[in-house]
Amino acid sequence: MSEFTGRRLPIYLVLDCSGSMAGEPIEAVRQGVKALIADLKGDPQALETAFLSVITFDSGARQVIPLTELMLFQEPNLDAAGSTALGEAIKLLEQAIDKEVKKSTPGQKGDWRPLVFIMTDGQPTDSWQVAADSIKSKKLGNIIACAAGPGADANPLKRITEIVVKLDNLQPDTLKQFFKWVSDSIKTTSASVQQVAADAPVGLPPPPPQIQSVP
Amino acid sequence: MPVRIREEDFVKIIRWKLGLPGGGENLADVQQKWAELQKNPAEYKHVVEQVSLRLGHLLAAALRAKITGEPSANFAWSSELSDLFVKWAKDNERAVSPKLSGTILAAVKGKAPPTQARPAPPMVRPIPKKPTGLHPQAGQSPTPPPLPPPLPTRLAIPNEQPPPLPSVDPPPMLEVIEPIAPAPTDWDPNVSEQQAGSPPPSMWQYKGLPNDPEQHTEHDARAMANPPEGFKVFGARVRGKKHKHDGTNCDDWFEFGQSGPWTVIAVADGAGSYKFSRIGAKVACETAVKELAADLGKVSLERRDTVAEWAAAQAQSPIHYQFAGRDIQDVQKAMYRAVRKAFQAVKTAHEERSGSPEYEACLPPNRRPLDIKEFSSTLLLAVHHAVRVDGKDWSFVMACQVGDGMTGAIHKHGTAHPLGTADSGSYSGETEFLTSSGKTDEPYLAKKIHAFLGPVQAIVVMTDGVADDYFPGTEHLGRLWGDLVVNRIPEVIVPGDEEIANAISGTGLPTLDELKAANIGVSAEVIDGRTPRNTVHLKSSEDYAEKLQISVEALLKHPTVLLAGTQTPGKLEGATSEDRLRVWLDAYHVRGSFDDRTLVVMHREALP
Repeated sequence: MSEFTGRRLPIYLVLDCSGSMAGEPIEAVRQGVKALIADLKGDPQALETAFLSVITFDSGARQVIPLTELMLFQEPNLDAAGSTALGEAIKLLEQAIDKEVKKSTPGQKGDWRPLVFIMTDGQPTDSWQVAADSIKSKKLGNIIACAAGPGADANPLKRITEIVVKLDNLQPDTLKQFFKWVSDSIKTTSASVQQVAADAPVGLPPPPPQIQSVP
Repeated sequence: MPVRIREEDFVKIIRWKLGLPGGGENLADVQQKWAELQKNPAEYKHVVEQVSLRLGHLLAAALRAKITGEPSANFAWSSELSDLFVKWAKDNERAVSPKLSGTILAAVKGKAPPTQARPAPPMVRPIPKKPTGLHPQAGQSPTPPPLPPPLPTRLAIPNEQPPPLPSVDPPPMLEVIEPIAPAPTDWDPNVSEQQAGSPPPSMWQYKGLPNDPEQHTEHDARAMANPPEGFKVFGARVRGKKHKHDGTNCDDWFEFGQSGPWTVIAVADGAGSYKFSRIGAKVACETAVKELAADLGKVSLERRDTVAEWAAAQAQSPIHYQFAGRDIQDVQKAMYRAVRKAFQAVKTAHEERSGSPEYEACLPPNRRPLDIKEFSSTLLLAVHHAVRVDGKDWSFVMACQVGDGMTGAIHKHGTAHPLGTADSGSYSGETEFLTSSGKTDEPYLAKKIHAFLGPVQAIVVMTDGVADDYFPGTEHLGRLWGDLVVNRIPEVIVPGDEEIANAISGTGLPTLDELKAANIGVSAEVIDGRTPRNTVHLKSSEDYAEKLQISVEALLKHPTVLLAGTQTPGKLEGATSEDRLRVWLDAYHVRGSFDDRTLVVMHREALP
């Protein structure tokens, strides 16, 4: 099958794999990603255009899955240990978007504006401010950040993006609801990714009760 | 040592062996080639295996359809095939039935079927031919002289007689290549590589139009009742796959009109994320055409007999891009006025509906009260006037656009010329709208005006839903015209058999018989309320060119050959051009392309 040269919808998942996520929470995240993929595979638009990448962070950050088309995406093995290098993750995210996402030129079809979902359950342990300011100012994509559980700090996330939500806890059911909402957001945003004025805000579906918007 | 067999001969051999027509008239020849193939037992076995497996997938699709009850849309005769299989099993109950049950059981238990237990054997496959358009020894064929560089004037210069068609490269060898993966489960011989990334047919749903105020029809197809002499004008718009799936409106619109010698065309694409953008698109088109028709009715183009005179008149001043010729300036001003009036009309449409509970209720709370943004739309305008230059029938065209989409001219000699450039941001879908700030200001519009003079076959104006599938226009606009012609969307006079036979003799389809048997298209699903879904056969000028072993550019330069493409199997349904256009727009599949599609065509009756 020849490479798809059309417009892709790039989706980046940036996931906290620090020690506090060990056990049930990280397993629930893994299941959540799996469910997200399965859900997207039921959406014809996602099947044709969605490309996903996973960046994980603990004491460091790595792009465990580069931007890959939905049909070929295999959910990653996620282990949890170490601290919370959110700054490195953001920096890596910026680099990944720069490298992987195609811009519109007279001769090349640009991708749709990337969708980014960041999830953390704690406080960043590295210096994250510069990276946060950088990515916010560049308006590289529509970033949705999630502060998961009681130990999560929403403030750093607020510096990265306007759209921040909070999860009450890290229970499997809560995380399941979160990933379902991520999937719905992708599908809804896809509807409005066609033809938006450059600065138009992305319209997201209302979050379920376990997820509250952080104003 | 690899066997030397041409791809076409290989197909003939297998068809002959299966007892099907299309095995070629020369039976002795085919039989000899078969004997030759059998001389290499290893290759022979592998080839037979692969062909049988692949053909077997057709039966698999039929059986799947029978079991699930969901017909495979790409495979219209599924019920007959599966019925045949069932009959065979019934008639041979004692022998077949236990084997059948065993096979089903093994499938359930997850055992690998015997044929796939060993790795897929290498496939003997012909080397794919690259259309070169040129015989290697003939050297470069003369091309038309390039257009003059300065933006934005375009002055097409007539060129010499097109070169004769090149003859084909020597026939390829069958060569063993690396093992291929097992065919995908829904494999269909009609599905092209390009379609491989699309989901199975039933995934795209069909929902009717919503109950919003001011419902627009799902699609539209119209022709100008009294087009200018020697021309036809028609257009169609359709709801995109995405809107059908979500049950939302078609947001595109088109209008055309005639005022004396002036043909006026307007096409618009309402922004998908805004609730009443379809209204913006409609009023923008209606107003622009009305205003342009009125203004241009007062503009007569001066008579200029030579190309040089026209070039002088079409020269533009450096800062304001004002045309030198006074009459052309008037046309330019009329275009500016039309854009401004169109914007005014959108503004009025907003004011008229502002505060109305019926409309406000359609919006989520954070988007109330009704803002003019909800009427955001692009707008493309094109005007045409026939002129006589150097004693020949030429066309003067002026185009202007706000936002994306494309206007183009197809030159008499087959070259394609985009007239203007789309507004776009760095990411997809970021474009400007009539309602964006500054889009009606002269400094902005001056850069969006494009004048063209030359002998044309056609002018096309389209929204992004089509333009994006022929991107970039500089490379693919011609292919769009090719696609319209081979699908016989414009009414054309097809050349006689002898003329066609002469023209194609040097190509990869050297005889009329081979041409008339060549499949140059794919089956495309029609997404409407019907179940099971219909399919239509849509031809591709790219596929046609590939079979002819020439480039698409060369194909467009040889109108007899291009028109001969209408004689390949499969006819697009639709009694009129606009109906056929609508069917084509609605059904053609490109991965990632699911926006509303609108296209208006103005073409010379006698092509080219």
